[in-house]
Amino acid sequence: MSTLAQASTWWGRNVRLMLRNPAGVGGAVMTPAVFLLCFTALFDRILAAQGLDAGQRLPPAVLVQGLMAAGTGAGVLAAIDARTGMVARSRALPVSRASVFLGRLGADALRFLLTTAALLLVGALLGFGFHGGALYVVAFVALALLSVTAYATACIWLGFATRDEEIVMSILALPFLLLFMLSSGIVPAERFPDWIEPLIRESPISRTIEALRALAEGGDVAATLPVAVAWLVGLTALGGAGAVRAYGRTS
Amino acid sequence: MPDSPELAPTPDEGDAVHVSGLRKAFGEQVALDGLSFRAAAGSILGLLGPNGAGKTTTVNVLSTLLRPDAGSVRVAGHDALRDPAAVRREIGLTGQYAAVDADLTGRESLTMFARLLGRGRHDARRRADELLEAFDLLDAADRRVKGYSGGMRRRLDLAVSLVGRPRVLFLDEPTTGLDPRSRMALWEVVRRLRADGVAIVLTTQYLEEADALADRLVVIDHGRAIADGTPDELKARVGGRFCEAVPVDPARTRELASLLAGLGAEPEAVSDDGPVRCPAAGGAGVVGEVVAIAERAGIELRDVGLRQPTLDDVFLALTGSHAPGEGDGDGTGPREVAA
Repeated sequence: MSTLAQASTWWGRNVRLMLRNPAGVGGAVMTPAVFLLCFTALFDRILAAQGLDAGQRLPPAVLVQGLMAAGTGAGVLAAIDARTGMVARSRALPVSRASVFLGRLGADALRFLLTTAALLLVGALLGFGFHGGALYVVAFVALALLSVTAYATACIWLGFATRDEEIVMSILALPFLLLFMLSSGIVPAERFPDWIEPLIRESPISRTIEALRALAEGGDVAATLPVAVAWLVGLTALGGAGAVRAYGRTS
Repeated sequence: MPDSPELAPTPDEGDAVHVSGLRKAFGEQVALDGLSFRAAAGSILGLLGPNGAGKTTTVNVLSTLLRPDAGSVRVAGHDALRDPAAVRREIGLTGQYAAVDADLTGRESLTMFARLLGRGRHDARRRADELLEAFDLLDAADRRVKGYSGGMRRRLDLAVSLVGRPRVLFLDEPTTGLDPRSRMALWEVVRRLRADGVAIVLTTQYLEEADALADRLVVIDHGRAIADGTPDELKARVGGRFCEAVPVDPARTRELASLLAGLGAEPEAVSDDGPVRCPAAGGAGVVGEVVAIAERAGIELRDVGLRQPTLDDVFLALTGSHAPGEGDGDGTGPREVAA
């Protein structure tokens, strides 16, 4: 039995479980779109006064905020699978380890694709647009998917390690909030106090948001995209190693 | 290797499970301390012991979920430490909690695992149907599992473990939390599996369950086997069934004990408010005799009945101390014998 066939079985199961909980999926898909509306209402004039266009600036930021939430969701589902014995059951069967992760991440990616679509739709109504070619749009979506994979992998590690979805949610809530607040998501890095500005600029969240903005603008992405991809690949590798280790210890 | 080889069971190629000198510590806490036992093919082996004795750790090692610190493990002829993948193709595992998705239907769960194990769409559906029928779940097949009763969940859980037709099945406390009727239904299923040639290793804290199901028992305490034998052999060491009677008036307890001395009661071992016990190897007839004797003496009884030794009694007999870690009351105190 090939890993890919097993992965598609896990994916089917995960997607089916997701669809059986429409409130959960609906919330995950619609929340960023609603956040975008709120942020735009709040910051439109403030940003305009500073010469910034909220309509173009905010959607990438809210998308990254949404992918942190999506990561938490993946961690919660992983914790539930570990707690209920689903992971132990699959470990005691001739089921490939990679298939479990691919099936999980694939389902998370699908959900996040829907989230991204809803956000871009609302964003378009508020003035967000792609100014490059189709290739830039594809790269934008690909970067969003790479981001959700990175965050989900790290959160899945936490889920397998703790086997407790409550702990996953409470551990992740504060760091994710801080990471978003301390980023260039809403206010540009240079508007932060001098002592913290480098931190804001270099944070993986800021880096991802800036790369998404650059892709939406359609101009030169050499300054932003490679750093963002490096961050995300690194995070995926680290989270993946931890998650595989934690998976191997689940019983 | 510190294990003395002569204490280890002799390997036998026909054994479903062969474990020798198993050690596992979690930090300071020693879970397995030189555990050795074997389970013959096509038989039911019961691992009996209180909470924390090492039963679940043992099952986790046998099912390749956990690597021991020392010792050897053979399952279905394969070395579980060197070739866990080969073991996984031969085993089924049913853990303490029913590991089935609450939001899938029973049929979907079974079909999913059949697909994971390499069956095609059509073949997977057929295997699911077979198992649904065998486990009396056809009527509930297309309902979500969250609407199942505890017994139905356990049956589905067991059915999922059997999708791949394992030769060796591990059941970790399969009936904990089930009502008596569901418990007996599950026992029936386990016996049927043995009849089909599946070797079963099950853990339990219930002596009556071990007694009802197991061909052989290994009693585990503090991570080592403290007794190994058939249920009858172990029961003989404990003393078998007894009749217990409690007078309404505690002041007459000693008087009743003296009257029952002829039936084997020990008056000097009776406390003022405790029950009077006498051996009842002969079965229910002894209860009638006790009632008749009490009636003749005009002693009104609050309670009288046939009791079976509990896990605690087994431990008392085998180790001279009470079973540790029995906080929830299960398995302590005499238990009614099912009529």
